[in-house]
Amino acid sequence: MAARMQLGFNLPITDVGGTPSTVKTLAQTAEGIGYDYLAVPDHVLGVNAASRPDWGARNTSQDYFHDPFVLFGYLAACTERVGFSTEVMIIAQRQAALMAKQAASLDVLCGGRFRFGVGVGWNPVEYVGLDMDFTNRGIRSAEQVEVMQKLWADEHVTFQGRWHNIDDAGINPLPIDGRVPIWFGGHADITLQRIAQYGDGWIMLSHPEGAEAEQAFDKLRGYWAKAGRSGEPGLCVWVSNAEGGPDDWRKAISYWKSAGVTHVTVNNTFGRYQHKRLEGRTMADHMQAMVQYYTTVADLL
Amino acid sequence: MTAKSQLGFALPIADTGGDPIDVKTMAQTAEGLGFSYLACPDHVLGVNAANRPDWGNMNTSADTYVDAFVLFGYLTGICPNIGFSTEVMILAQRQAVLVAKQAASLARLCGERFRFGIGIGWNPVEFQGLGMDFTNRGRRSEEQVQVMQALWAADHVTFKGEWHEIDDAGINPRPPSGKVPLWFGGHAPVTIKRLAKYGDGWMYLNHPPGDDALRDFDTLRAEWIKNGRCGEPELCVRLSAGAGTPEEWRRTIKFWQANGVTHFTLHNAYSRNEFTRIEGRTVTAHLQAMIRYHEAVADLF
Repeated sequence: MAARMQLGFNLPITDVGGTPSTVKTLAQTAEGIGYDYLAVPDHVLGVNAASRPDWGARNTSQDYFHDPFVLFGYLAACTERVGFSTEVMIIAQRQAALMAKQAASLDVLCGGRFRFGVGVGWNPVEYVGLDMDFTNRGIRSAEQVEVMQKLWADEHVTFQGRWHNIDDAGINPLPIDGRVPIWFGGHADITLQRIAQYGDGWIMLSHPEGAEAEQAFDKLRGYWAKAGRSGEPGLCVWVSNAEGGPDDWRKAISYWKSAGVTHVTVNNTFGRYQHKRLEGRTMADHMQAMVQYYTTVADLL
Repeated sequence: MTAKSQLGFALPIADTGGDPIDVKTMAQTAEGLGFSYLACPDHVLGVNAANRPDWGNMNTSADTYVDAFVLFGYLTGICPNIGFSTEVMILAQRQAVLVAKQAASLARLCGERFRFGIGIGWNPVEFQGLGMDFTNRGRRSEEQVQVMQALWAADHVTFKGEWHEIDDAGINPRPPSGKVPLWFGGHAPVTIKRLAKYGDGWMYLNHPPGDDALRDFDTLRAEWIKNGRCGEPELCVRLSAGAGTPEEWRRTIKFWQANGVTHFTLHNAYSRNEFTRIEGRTVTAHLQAMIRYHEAVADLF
């Protein structure tokens, strides 16, 4: 018998903004209804789209993104048991040692409720602004993960890599269990290999329900076994209220569960790939959707 | 008659550790007694002193530092009224754009209760671990301040400096007032010039109460006027319950108040310069010292 699948709710801050009462209301309602975790995306900078006519549907400076570490710090104090997940943080534009520090601080303050979803992003403007190299972001992110995992595990770290140099020093506090779960976004073959080497799970956005998704999961399981990992990798997918009606939501949840998915995030603000976003953008729209999705599928988890 | 001065409390997390219940207890007690703000210092990495016999009494990996942005995010959800102050954050080892983002997120969530104290640090091991240049940290921090203030003030920023480049992009959210109060630590002549140009206040540790300190204040005030700033720079000093009698504490505070000091941080875990830390290191010892000191001086605020 498979373990109970976890259902998460993506905070729709890009639609409803991020005043303290807004995010607190969303978080406490989701926790009260029974959601297992709260998710947020991450962008540090947004471009001025007015001066970039071909920018398309990608995020801009119009979109509101709280910094996830500060936001989850706040929500750790406003909630009791709900988990927190970045989906995903663009790690290669940040400093690894500082992320290790902030993730560990959050882990301690929220009592181990944080899962760290990481990705490499797509926007060179952010990387330029943060003075990080966009071109090597994938391979550098693997070394960042190594650095962070060492800093979480040991009081003192000596590390000399291609991009990082730590001279017998460490962070304090360490995370409670000496680690923070790392989940990877993306879908390149090399990403699946990195998950098998360093990760706890995959945040899979690239395939709809069906054979392609199952093949991708099997590929990851193959890498996982080859890396000598025990158990199975965690698998997270995104769903939304805009993808059909209640019957379709139930079908989707049942299908993903049968495919071995462990975490499902209701994300009603994402409209790329096969995903569809909610039509409404108000607080009432999102609260209603949050309640409706949970009550429709709760018995299937 | 000068405006009412404020009494703050420095959270002694380096002594007590960062357990959320401990942190919450100290913060709520301070707020309940009537302290105006909570202060916290910053180190990202600490060295392994066992392999550095000449390290002296500088901070090491044995000292707990919860990241200030995560901690104040958390305490924003606990304390409805009290202010927050970094004393100080080592700016030049972090990325200016990310710091601007995290400070803005915090300002939004706490309703602008945050004052941002910055310094340049002293520990090359941290800078190396974070991939930042230790040797130019002073000059670079000045450009960092320009970048942050530009990002806080406008939706879109175009900036080309010696170390920073932003291509028509911005952070969202920005602080509601378009700024975050910036306080400077340190006392080099160039720091005083920067403070007069960009800052709101001085976190002053250079001299004990007396003529040397007053000369320093006058130097800053002269620079302030030279920069065409109106009003007066704010001034923050430290206090400690670790030495002296209540009468001496009161005399010290009155001296500073008569000479324009606006903010007083009770820091009971600090033993450099003229300061003596309290003997105990437990939460109980710190609560007792906090309460005793407050009782002795509260009517002066």
